[in-house]
Amino acid sequence: MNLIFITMDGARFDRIVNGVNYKKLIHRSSFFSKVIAYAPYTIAAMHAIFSGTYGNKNGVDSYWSNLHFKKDKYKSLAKYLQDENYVTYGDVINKLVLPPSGFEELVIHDELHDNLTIRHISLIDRMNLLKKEGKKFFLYLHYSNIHTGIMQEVLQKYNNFSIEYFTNRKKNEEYYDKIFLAADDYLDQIIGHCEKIGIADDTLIVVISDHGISVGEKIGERAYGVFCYDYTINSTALFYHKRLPKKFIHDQVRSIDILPTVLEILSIPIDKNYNLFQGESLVPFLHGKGMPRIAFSQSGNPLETNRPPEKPNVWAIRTPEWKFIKNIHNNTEELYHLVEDPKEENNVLAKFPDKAQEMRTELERLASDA
Amino acid sequence: MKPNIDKLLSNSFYFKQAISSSDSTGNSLGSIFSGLYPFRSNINFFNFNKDIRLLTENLKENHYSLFSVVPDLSFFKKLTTNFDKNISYVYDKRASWLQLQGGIGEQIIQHLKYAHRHEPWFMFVHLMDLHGPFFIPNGFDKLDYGINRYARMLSYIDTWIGKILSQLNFENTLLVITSDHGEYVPIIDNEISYNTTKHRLIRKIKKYFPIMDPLTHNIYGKYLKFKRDLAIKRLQKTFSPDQMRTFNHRADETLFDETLIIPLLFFGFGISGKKEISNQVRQIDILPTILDFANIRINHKIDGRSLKPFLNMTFNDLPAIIENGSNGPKKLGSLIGIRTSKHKYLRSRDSSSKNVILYDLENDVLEKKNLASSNPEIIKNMEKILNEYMSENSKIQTNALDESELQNIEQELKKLGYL
Repeated sequence: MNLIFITMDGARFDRIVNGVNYKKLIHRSSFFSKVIAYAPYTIAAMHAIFSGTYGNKNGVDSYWSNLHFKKDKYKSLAKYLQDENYVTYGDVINKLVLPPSGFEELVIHDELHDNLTIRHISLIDRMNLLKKEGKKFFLYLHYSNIHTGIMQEVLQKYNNFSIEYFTNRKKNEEYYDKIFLAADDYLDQIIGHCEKIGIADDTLIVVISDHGISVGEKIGERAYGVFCYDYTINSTALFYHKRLPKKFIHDQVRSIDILPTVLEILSIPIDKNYNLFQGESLVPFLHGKGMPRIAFSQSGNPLETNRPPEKPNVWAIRTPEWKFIKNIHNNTEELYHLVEDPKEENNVLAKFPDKAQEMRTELERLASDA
Repeated sequence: MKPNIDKLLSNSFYFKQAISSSDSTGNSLGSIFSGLYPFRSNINFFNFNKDIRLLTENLKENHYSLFSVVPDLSFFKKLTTNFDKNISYVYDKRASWLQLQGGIGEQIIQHLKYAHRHEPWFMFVHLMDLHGPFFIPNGFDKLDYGINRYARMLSYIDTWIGKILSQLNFENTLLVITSDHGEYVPIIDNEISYNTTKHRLIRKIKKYFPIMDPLTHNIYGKYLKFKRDLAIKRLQKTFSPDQMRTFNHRADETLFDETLIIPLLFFGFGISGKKEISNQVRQIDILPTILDFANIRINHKIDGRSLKPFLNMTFNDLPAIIENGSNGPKKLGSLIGIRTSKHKYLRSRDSSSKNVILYDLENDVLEKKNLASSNPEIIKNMEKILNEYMSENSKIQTNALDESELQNIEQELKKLGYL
């Protein structure tokens, strides 16, 4: 089976589950609505996904550390497929976002000028030709236009504390919805094309979001990559193939589970010459057997500067019910009871010291497992 | 008796299990200043690798004035070449050497006063007072100040630490106290084979008849060894094997913890209250930590890591690569290995199958029982880790980027709108 892996950069989970075209696809897929990202920004998030391993272990735990990816220790998704004789091709927003290992071609598109729908459809057609020649392929497509819109209208116009931005929540939401609509349309056209040319029959299509984006929920984060609140770290994953069960899974899982899942669906054995990834396959969930998983995330709050730090300074651990955050930069902690407070507005650290200690211990264990 | 050190300990960021890279001064100081293991930097007491970038360069580039008070030995001169002002004192192991009491203490204080006029500053002070043979100042050579001469000397040094502390403003100064290596402290106060008169004679021969040097070195070395072996045989009749170990010399065929565990405390700027860390940390971590406190980035590859994050969090130990030093300029120490909190693994520097030693540090603190033959799996694992570190192609465990890598990433992050 072939693989098309699509990253919807910056797609929020609450928009995804309500997207007109997304919804249609979700109904026909195995869909995970609560995939907790390792990092709320693309570089570390994608390295964790591709290695099945948290960034504090795989070497990429900041905006600055892509060169430190431990490719000799952690085998990336592309490398797995290349070693299985797949033709591997990637189209990405920037060279920093993916470990290049295993890609025969990893091409950077121009997010400001390229029409990604046309570009990606032509790449799918190219893969279809390879398929007809009897070759297996892996095609990675990065949909970057949500990022482009946010970069132009938010990142370049406001800082993380701009009053004008945080007092115009409605305007922010409307703008996000507008750029999400285009993303939803892109996905419809891509999937539609795959079905039309028949490539979907023997191709696993994986559609993920790497992280969400703020629309002004918390002062201090105008977009993403600062805090570890759900509006950025709750991502999604969708596995589409006619043989997979159509299932909406609400259980909490982790973005590091995506790699083992793809390997299991494609029947690719784990390479024991590398360190074993931390993630675990999500396939049991497709048969109603999975259990929610505790997730670890890290971010880099640039604080008053415009420069992300070189080491993560916000660490978080999330269970289905609770989230505990440790702000390394100022040595403060936060505890949220997500069941009662999904917007993470009431820090109940003082009210639940035992729960805080339990979460703190687990967070420290995960953080120190480097 | 060490009230000033105790006072510091009660308010410092203190590491109980800091491990020296080696049991000899050149290797160890090379580790501290470069953040690299000796096998990688090739810095030792006899050979100074000028191609290695020292972390004091980072301070210099960030406009720090660099000062030192160090022994008048060529190694220290090379180590402080790029410093702004150095005070070198003569250290010849003779009773007449100045020591803290004879003027070095006062020189340090004057140097600090000078440094205060050139902020920001960094000062490296290397004291030899705790190095045998001990010449204990009057009034301190009694039981009130410790059970042996080593402890009494430490009590005396403590008084000077108090005087030095009074010169510092800890609102903007970070004080680091550590040592280059540990030491065997003999159970009796007399050194087995030290003879300053003969040392002086040999030095004079070397100075005036350099051609005689190799000969005198060999003859004198053999003479010392003979004397020492004789003395040891005599002492073995009186003392147990454990007690005899206290007569060991560093840079020899052993590498016990008493020569590797070093004190390490940080006090002052950025530290409030006591924070005691039991994890194993390494000597190579010292300068990265200092630079982290000073908010100075390291843009080249090193083995060490900053320990500052331990202030807020706990972390896994990292293995420490350890090696013994050598007493001669033409050879390296014979042993290399790895220490973790649980095990110490040593083997010949030249061969992984020779002189293999494994100690269980949790259950055999005194390192008496070599478990190598009964634990092949542990040996295999330790050897694998050692090889990873020593492999020329292995990446040094660091997050440092060089300048061009950093610029490239900056450029890409700008494109993405993040900077």
